[in-house]
Amino acid sequence: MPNLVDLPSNSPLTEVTYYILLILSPQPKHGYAIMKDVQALSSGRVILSTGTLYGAIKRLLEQGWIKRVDDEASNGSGRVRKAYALTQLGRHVLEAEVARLQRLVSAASLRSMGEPALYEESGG
Amino acid sequence: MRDYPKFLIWLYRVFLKLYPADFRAEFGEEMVSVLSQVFSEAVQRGRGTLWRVFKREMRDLPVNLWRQHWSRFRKEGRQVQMGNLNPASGKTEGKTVSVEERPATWGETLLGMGPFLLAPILFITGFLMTSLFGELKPPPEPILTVVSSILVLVYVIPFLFVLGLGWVKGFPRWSYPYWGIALLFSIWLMRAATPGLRFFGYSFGHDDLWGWRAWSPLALVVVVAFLLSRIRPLHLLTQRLWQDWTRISFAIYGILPLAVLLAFDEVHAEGAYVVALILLLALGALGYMRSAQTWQRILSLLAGLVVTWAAATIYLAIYWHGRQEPWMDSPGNWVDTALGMNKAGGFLVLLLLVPAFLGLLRLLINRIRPLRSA
Repeated sequence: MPNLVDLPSNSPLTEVTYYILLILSPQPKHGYAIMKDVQALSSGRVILSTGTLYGAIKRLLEQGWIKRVDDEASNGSGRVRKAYALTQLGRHVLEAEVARLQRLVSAASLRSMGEPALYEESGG
Repeated sequence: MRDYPKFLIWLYRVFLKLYPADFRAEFGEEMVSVLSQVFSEAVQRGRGTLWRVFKREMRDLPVNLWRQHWSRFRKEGRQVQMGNLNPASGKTEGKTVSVEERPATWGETLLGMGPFLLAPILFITGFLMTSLFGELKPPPEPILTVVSSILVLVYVIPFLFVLGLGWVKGFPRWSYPYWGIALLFSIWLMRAATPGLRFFGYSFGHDDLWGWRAWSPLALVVVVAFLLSRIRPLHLLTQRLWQDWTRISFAIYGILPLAVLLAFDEVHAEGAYVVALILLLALGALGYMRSAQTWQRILSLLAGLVVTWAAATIYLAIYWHGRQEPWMDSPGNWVDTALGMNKAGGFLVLLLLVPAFLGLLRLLINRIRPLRSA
């Protein structure tokens, strides 16, 4: 189990990592579902190839942010299919990233409130 | 239309083989399964969609391959430093056994024996050249140019390539004798003159020593290897030397073919015997590469040196006994020859054992400051 000290509190996640963690936060999912959900969540902007997806999955497994679980229910043939679930550490990382993004958005909101005055000055 | 996905999946499986074996074993089938599902969906939308999906896979392939191989390469480096690494946790577990403590593979062994097999091959080439062109005195210029170009292409360039490869790979065990022989050869070449040799339009004069120019090939290899791999191999070099001092002994062992050649300087018709002696050294290198323990490794090198040197001593003692060359004050005798060879052999044995002090130092430091458990 990786140490919580390893939590990268200040380093932003890559877009792919962020989306994967976000998609796995409600429930475990298998590779194909992750791929489709990333595409849907990003409004078709981020489309993963299998190599990119499994490269990211491998890295997240090594970091201990996600874990592998068996997904028997999702397969009609009864064959055990691999699914991935968020770990406690992964959830912490995701929450930290969401909080960071919220701070950024808040800062942008505060800044944008003062913007019209500036435009008026420059425009005037 | 129906067969396209099957063909593309087959093609995808072929490209999948380019990934590192451990990645392939862990995710390969899953990747194929996911891609099959993506293809099934794409095929409903038409051939254009199917090709777009496949093109995306192919477009990302080089970057993904690079990432996985680089990650594997870095992990190997960490394993050298820390022992067995659990990929799931990123932590060392169980008995800390370095990958470097295993015997080398046969491929690595062959590479490690390279410098010792090179000298016999050079001898055979020299013998063939003498047989072919020996009657022509002096040999015509075009023939000399062709022969020297072949020698450079066939021996020097591969040697320099392997030298650079050793650097880029983080100085694995097989690379050390190459560095030993390259360093000694450069030192020797500094004081050597090669009158008449033309190189890039420059013609060497009669007393024109190579001097600093002797280091140019080595410097070129170092610069290229450094640009390709930066500081990491040097970091690995220090780690690996600290872990296994016999590597320095192996580098020193790499200069022994030159020592044998020097011992047989002025000896006539010695070619076949020298080849046999250097092959004995190659056996020592073979034992070294295939050993897993420090004591086995150093014993292999010592055995290779002692047996080769003893055989050389016997031959030279017999050869020089009662023989007088124009440059000699008196005829040679076997006792003086054997004594001289024993002194030189003793010096080489000591030289081979000097790096053991590094091992003793490591032992001492580890006792003072016990290693933390992983």
